[in-house]
Amino acid sequence: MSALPRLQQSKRLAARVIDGKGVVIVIDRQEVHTLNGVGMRVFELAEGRTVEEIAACLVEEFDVSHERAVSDAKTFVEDLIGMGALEASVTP
Amino acid sequence: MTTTNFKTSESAYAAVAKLRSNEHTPYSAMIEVADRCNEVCVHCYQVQGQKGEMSTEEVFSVMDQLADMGVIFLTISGGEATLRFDFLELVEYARKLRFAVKLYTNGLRVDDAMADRLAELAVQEVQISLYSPRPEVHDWVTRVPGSHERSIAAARRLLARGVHVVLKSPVMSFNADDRGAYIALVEEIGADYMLDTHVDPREDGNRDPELLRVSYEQELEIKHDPAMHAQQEREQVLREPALDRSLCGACSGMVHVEANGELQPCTMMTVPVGHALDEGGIKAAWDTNPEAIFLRHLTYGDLHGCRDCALQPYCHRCHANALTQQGDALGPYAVACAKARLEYETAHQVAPRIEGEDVSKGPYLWRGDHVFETAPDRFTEDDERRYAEHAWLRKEAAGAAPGSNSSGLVQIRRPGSSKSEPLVWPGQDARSNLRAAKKKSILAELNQVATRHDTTSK
Repeated sequence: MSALPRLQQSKRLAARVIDGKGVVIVIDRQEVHTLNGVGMRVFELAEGRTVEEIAACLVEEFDVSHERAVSDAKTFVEDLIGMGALEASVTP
Repeated sequence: MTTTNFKTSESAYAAVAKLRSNEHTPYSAMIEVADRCNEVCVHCYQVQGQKGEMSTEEVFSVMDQLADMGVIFLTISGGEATLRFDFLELVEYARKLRFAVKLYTNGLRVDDAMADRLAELAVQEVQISLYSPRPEVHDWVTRVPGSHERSIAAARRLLARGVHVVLKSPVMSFNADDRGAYIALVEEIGADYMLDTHVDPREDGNRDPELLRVSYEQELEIKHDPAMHAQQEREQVLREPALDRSLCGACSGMVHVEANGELQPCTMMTVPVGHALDEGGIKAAWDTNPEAIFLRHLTYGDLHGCRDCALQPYCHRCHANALTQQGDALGPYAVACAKARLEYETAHQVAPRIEGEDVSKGPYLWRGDHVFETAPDRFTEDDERRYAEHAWLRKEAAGAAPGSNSSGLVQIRRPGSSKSEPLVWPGQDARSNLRAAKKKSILAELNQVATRHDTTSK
């Protein structure tokens, strides 16, 4: 069985919660991204976790089924990777 | 999720500023970490060596506090910040706290090792002061031989490592005609540029730097110069209708920390609004300091004269400059009124014709067809109450107005020096330079322009 990618936040960004909104600035791409509360929570949870582990946390914190949490987390994590905010690494 | 691309740090600031639900939520800060500099620039507004500097741990504490308050943009400035032995440690700590870090430097100490580290740390932008494409002019301004070559070398080192670099300079009377060559040099290097006609009085109130301002006609020419497209883009980002925006970011979105930890509304306004290292720190000062609260809630309605002025949408007045130049932080002052007229002329391609006695200063009332007339500066009981409650709003305008030297010789005093010296820049005849500088004193020049319009109208 292949290992799930473990995620980490890029070292080349700035991030903060301002007035309840998540702000992520990807320095090298010169982009400012605004995340809502759940989005910012996924970004925070991603540090050192897999998508499955993020989904498990979401199930505990929000009123959401496991299947939906996995599906949403996977989609959103892919977005975050695409915009350069997260990096995925497969560790044995 | 929304995404905004930014070409300049200013547009990143604007994007973040807009998403706040409270316009007073702090999101940007400047820490002047060094109270010293290795250049002695002729126009510099700073008076250094007066306050002392925070320790490494104290600066860390300031950064911790700013991060906790939600600040995301952090400018590390000086003096010359790289003179601190712990400079890279400070940048590293700021990046660890995930600030978007902007550095102001002259670049003299940016060697390969420092450039490597700044690139690794992913600083958002490094702004390097470069005053002319001509080495002899730049070195004359900084009084450091070879500084032109070293600043450019620093820019190249950083750019080679992928760091975003902005070369910047005030456009002054002696370098205004260099701007085409300046932009060409910057483009050859591969950096961005920021040229600004703003020249501030010294923070101790000395107004000598104002002698170096460009004339009204020069400023108009610069505004319309197609070569200045990058600058014009920056200004478009920053400009919003005056009636809809806050008067300024002082104590409203922007935190300013002096080298010794004192809090000021901005780098130019020397009114104390707390101390970062006092009990309660920056947050307590931000929330409770009466002057900070007063400043952040000021609106145009609180500014006598300005509130009645029809050119308000074109106005970029500054409380600090009003205080220094007019002795009154809340009223109109000639330089701002001239700039408003210039903005009007730029926007409408027609010079506003001003009628009245002293046309150099507003308020201006609209009379139709680009014609305005001066109006009385009305004071209300509320105005008097504000001055009674905040005594610092008024003071005697410090220093002589530019060009008023009774000897007839215009002189500039270097920061930190008690000696004055003639204002002579390379490639210029001394006597004609003095005459030129005096002639180009913006106040006199602007008054001439205003008078010309006045005469035309009669």
